[in-house]
Amino acid sequence: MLRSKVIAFLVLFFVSLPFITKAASTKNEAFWQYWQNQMLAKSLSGKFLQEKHIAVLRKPLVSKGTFKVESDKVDWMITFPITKHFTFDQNGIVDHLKSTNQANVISNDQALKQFSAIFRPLFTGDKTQLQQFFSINIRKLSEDKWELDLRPKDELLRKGLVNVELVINQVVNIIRITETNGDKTLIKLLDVQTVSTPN
Amino acid sequence: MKLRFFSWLFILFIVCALFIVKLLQGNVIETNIMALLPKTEQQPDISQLSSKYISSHNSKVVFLLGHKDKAQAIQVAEAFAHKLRQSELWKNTVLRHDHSKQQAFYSFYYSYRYHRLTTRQQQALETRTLAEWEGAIQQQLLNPAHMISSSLLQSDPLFLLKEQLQQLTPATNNHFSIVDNLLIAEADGIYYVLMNSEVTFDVFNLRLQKQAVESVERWVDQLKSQYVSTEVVYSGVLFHAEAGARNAQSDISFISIISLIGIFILSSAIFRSLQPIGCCLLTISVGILVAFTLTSYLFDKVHWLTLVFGASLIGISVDYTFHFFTARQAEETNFSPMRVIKRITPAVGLGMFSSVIGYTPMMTAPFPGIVQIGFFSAVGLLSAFLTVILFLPYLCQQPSKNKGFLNLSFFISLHQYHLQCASKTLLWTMMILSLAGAAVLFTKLPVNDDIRLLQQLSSERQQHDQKLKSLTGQNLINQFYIVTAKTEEQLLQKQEKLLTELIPLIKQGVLSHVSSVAQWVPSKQQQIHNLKLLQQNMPPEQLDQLLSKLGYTKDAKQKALQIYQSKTQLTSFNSDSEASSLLTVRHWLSSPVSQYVSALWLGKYTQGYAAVMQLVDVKDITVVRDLASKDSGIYFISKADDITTVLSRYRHLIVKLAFIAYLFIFLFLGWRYGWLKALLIILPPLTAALTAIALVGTFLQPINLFNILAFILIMGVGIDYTVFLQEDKKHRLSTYIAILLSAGTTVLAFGLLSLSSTNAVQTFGFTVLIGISLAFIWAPCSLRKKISHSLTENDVNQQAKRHSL
Repeated sequence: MLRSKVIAFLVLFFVSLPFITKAASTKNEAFWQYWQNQMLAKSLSGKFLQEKHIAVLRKPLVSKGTFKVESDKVDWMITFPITKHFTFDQNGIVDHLKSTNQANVISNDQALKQFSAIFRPLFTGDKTQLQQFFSINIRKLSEDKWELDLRPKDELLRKGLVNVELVINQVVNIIRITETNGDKTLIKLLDVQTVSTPN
Repeated sequence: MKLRFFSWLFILFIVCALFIVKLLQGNVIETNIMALLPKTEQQPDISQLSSKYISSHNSKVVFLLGHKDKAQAIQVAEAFAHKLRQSELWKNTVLRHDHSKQQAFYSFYYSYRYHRLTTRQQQALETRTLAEWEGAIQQQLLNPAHMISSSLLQSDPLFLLKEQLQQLTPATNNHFSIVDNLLIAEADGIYYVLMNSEVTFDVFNLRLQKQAVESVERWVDQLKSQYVSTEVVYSGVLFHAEAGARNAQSDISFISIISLIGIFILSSAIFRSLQPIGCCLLTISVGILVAFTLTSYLFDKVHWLTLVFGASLIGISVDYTFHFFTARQAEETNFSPMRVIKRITPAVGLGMFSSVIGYTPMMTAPFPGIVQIGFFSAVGLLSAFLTVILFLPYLCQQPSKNKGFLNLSFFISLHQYHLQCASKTLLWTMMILSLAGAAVLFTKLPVNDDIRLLQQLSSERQQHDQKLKSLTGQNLINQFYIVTAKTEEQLLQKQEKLLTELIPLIKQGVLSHVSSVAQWVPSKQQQIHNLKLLQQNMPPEQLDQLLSKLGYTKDAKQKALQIYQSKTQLTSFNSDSEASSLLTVRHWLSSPVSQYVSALWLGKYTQGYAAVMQLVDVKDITVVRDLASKDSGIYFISKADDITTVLSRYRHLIVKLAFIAYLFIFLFLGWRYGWLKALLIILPPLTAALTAIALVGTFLQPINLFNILAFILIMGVGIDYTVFLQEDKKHRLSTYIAILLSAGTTVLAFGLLSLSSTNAVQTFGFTVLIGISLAFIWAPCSLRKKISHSLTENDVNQQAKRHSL
């Protein structure tokens, strides 16, 4: 009896597998369509609250500030507990207060460069860019709320990073980064505004 | 006649034997431009070190394999890398950058993070308060890009390594990221995969460079047909060298063919025989052979510049041969070669002698190159002259089979018209106006000896370089220092001192970056200083306080302090011991981390140790050059600028010597003909040469050494014309035809170089073309008396008599 139930389940499972996969794929496509529609030709700005939970530190490191995401860069301005202004673009990171270009080259700091390349798509939902670095698992939480689990593809990145989780409600609300040593970073994006940018 | 012939032949046999012996010894041609400088200014050791570095750099090639589809771009890159690896012409092809290398890089320098403090870190240790340290570290902690882990906070609590590594590479506009171990960049919708490789041969080896470039082009074509819309960009000295050689070869074959056809037509039209051309080649070859052999024995090596200049100047000897053949052609029935020789010897001898006088002052110059050119040209012309008077009578004992000239009436008319023009002051007016015009143009004549202007870079190559620069931010290497010292330690210290002087210049924008071994491996003195600085200004107690302020847990703090103490303690080293914990050049060179920069270390040489400090994107060369002058062991190398300086010095000196030479020639001609006649002889070629230079310099390209070579050539040939006309008054028609033929062949041989796509060759060609044409047109101005018709009638009668026979 049990044997026939197992066989029936397996048959049903394999028959329905393509449909399940297709359904998942369709769902994913719907999400990407949804997110990109939200972000189409828009710039994003708002406030952030960042918490870094590092095992060797007694308290989480908390910082606040504002951010602005444009088509080719992300401006990240920390206002508490210190004042700092970083710009992430395709060449790397610019530390404005130092007025030195920290964009880096192949030989020594690919990680910094890679971070800069990853950082903007986390806000804009650039599917191609994200898929270049991560395997992506999408979960629908409610009608307009989604959760993305990004797992690094790159071996070097995998050594330091477990995953990046994004919670999206029209726009990104939460970015959660988990490192292999257990350290975590939580970035909450608040009062996010989208502004259409001229073509 | 026979005795003279065999005596000269015997001498030439000896010269030939000596020439072969010299060739067998090898290495006869000097290609180093610095060898043109006086011995006191030459630095053979430094020149050798510089060549070693340049050749290591020259062999490198960068490829970008592009496709709209990233996967296809990777496939193309892999297929291309496979082809390179299969070829014996290529080595060290790097496509994938595996993680182990990246990790090894971090691990290597991580071990020396306390030994390799940056200037900013040293300053911070000297000046920062504990609160400032706390603020600085907090900034690092809050940077969203910094993947700060618990282990990093324990092992490098002051965040030293990151800044140390960032300082090693310039902030270039590099678009590449490592994806799947490949360096990939995206631009205008195309994905480019970067690949490095090196050639296994000297990039200036014409045969192998051609082979390598042709195979690359073939592979690219194959890949393009296999993967539609593939784009391949490649850059390196190899491709420029090959494009230059290909250009020169196509120029030479095109120009040579036209030139040879023209010369053959001209010779056939006048002599109806190719014998005169064969004899011209013989006299020039003998001239060059004797000049080359004697120069190589006297100076040990013959410089390529001597060969270029000398061989061109020996080319003047075509005048002597043509003079012999036109005289022979015009000879009456009882032809005697000796009579012809006797007739032409005064004119040809004077022409040769005046040229040799012209080269004599060059032999007293303080520059070995100029002495060589003077000696080479004088010996060559003398040998060519001897060949004409000793060989030709024996080789051409029979009268010409085709007596008389074809189109005689045309030559007579041209001759009469040309000489009458001179008498009618038309030519004089032209000449004086040209001289005045040239004088005006000379006041604003642009001069530029920059070697880079002399060659026309292929536009395709420039596009490739530009594309590569836009994606990688890499610049071509042009300038560097060679730093020398007695010991390795002194050398590193010297580099560190120079670096402290260069950093402010980088901030001022004088240059964009410097790369040296001392930045990777500090001197032992510096490493010890850094450790002391940490111990004094960040003792464990103070670090303990800092970590407490930052909120470290007790265990984490203890571990961090333990690591810090063990890594910064000063007891484990002895400054002279190789077994110390300090980073040494030997250790660095033996590690794969030095792979891409190890060429900067030149190592031991006769005077001690040497290393390169590579300068990138230098905008003010004078400032950078001045830094080197402060220390006798530091040499600033800028190959193109050094060559430019040598060429400029040579141009100045040759101009001065040329004027002294022509003063001597004037004195000699004055003694021979009287001052007024001497002036008349020298004025037409001088005006022609000056006009040519003024026109080319004003309207084509600024004046350089090659125009001065053209000047000497025009003067040499032009004076021959006026002297021949003076000396051979009885046979003026045949002399005139000889001059016409000489001008025609010189224009065809040198003037056609104006069709070349190489700037230096083109300007030389234009100068000769204009100068020789004008020297020929104005040559009759040297004849003071009005033309007597009886002379031309005499010529006509002679020719008519010959034709009747």
